[in-house]
Amino acid sequence: MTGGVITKRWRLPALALLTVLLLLAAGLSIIFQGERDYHERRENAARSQAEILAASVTAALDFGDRATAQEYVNALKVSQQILAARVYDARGRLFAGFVRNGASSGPVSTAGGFGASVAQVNVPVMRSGTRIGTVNITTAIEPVSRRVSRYAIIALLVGMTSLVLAVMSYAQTALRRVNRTLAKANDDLQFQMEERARTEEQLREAQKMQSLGKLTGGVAHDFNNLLAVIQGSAELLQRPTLSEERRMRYTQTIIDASAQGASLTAQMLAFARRQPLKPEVLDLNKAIGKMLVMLQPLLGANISLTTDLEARVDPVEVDPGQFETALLNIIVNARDAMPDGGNVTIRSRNATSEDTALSGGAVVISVEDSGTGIPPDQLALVFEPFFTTKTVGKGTGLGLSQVYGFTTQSGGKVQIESELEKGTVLTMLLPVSGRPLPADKDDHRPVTGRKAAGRVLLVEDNEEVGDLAAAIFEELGHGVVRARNGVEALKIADEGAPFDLVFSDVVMPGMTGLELAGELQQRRPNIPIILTTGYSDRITMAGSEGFPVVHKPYGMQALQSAVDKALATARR
Amino acid sequence: MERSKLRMLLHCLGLLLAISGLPESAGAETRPLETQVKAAFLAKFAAYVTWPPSALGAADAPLVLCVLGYDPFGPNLEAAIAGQRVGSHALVLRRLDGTAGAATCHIAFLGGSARQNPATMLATIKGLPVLSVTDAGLGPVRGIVHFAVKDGRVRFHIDDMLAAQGNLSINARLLSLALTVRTRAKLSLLAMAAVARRAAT
Repeated sequence: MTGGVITKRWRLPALALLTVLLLLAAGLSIIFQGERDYHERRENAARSQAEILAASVTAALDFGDRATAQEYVNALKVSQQILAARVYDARGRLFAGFVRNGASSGPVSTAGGFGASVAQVNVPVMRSGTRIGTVNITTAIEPVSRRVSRYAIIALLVGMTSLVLAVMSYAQTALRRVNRTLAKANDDLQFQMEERARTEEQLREAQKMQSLGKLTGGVAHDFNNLLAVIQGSAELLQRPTLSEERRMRYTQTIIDASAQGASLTAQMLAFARRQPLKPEVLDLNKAIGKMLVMLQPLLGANISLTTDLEARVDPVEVDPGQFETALLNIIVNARDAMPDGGNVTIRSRNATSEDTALSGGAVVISVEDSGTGIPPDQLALVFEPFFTTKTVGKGTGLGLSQVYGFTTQSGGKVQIESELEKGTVLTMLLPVSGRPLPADKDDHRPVTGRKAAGRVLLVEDNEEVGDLAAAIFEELGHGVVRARNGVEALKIADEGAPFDLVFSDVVMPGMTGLELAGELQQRRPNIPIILTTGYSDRITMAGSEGFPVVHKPYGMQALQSAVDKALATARR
Repeated sequence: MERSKLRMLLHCLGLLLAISGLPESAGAETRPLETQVKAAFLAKFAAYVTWPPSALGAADAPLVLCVLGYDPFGPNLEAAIAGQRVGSHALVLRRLDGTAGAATCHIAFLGGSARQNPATMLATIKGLPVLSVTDAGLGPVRGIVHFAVKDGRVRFHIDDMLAAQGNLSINARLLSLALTVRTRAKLSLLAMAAVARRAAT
């Protein structure tokens, strides 16, 4: 593996080196060849001159005419390259010749090769096949330095090419090194990112656990209080000697505490986004007006409540209960911010273009208090679930989170501005609905269960809840047939038992309420069906398929209106 | 003044001596060497002369060197030609009394005899393809090659015109060694003139 990497790493430089070596070898061979050719040429030239001289001096040598021989020899002096020309007789004695300065004067010596500065040739002088002497010619060879300069261009080319190759291979190697470094850095980064993601996941988990802890603390405290009230009231009710007035008071206390508990769970569910909103087209001014009666007592005597409502605000489509809860949460927060009293102002107006308006218009509801304000560093946190500045057990931290959940779920926005020791303004922007306000008939029409008395098929797997529901229906004047699950309900229906309405829990072992409703609708299409659930995940996921839903915990009022509506629809 | 006059006198004397001919003035010891050299020369001339093919005969026919009449060389000549070959031809020596039979010769040294002086001999063999050799020491008549001694050295004159009459051609290298050359240039000039005249008519 490492061997392979090394091989790959060194392949390119090795290739470049090989190419350079090849080039060098080619260059050297060219130079060598050129040098050999040059020597050969010099030698050939010298030889032909020697041969000419040999032929010329034959007779002179033969007849011992030194002067004539010398004349012939001297003719070669014209050529500057000839350093020496000598004619020897048959016995090797010098007969004629000349030696220029700087040439060796030895009789016959051989020289040649790369570094030689002279080339010598010896040619026999022949007469009719008989050797009668020897001619020796010594020619100068260009000095090595001058010859080398002729090869400079080749050397330069080889050098340049080698340089280019070296630079290229170096650059390539460097690039490869950089690439490797980058790849490693990338790997490191990837690892760090994964590590970070893991850490964040762990952090989130920890935060969730922390939140759960806070929630548990807050909810347990609130519930404990409520349970204490209910338990105490119930025990008081058990006392035999109790005036009617007191009995009524304790009962009312239990009802109120239960309602608070219900609203607490409702808030938790809303936070968990599991409670579907039941939007209605609403005049917010009216909704606020209805609440004022209960808000003033909530704020207490130290705090004055004023309203500044625009004469006519556009209708919005929101869940009225959730809106009331949201406003209540804001008011409660305002109250808690003013332990020494102050002012709370509720304003309403139609949104202008200056507001961060929602497309299609909005209604602005703002609540201003003159409280302690929220430190800027905490301002961004107030909508976080379970964030609370109150001590553990005093608040759930769900109040403003519910406001946030409600407005965003309703397609609106929520804003908060605060200045320390001056107060806080919390603003809800709710989108305007295109639908008209419904007529107020429902509000005024007295609804009594007795008017719409009928028989109810009650399907509920929980015994206590079933008992309660049966008691309420009976109180409302309806007859009740109980079934503990879907199969039982279908059996009752198949047996032909008469009933005018089905009231079924959604979450049951075996057949769900929705499935049951579907089956029943096939058997008795005209019988209205009402579904009920405390945990509406199923409904949220699948929808109620058009069946009205009553949310647990329900009271007598909720049941009565739902039943009346359903029966009225069925009769229509 | 005196000295320069003396030098001039000496110069004149030297000049006179040179003109009067060295052989006579040369010492007795030099003479055998001179003869030897001339014998060697005689043996070497063949290499620089081209005979007409008809004169040479067969390829292995000998090349005949003749001494006509007086022979100043003696055994020197035998020594000189010993083993000498000219191309495919062996060199042989033949001594003749006179010009009789000289037609077989390729080279003839005209020594002269009681009946024929060198001049007569030359006249007799004139026109034959024979390289006639004369010696200044034996008379003023000049054959194709005429030995002379100059500055104590054996030299020779060449009469190329005479050679042309014998239909011989003499190598230019040999000509270059000659003291003087009587060229055949005149003839060629005449020939050229004749050619020109023929072209004009």
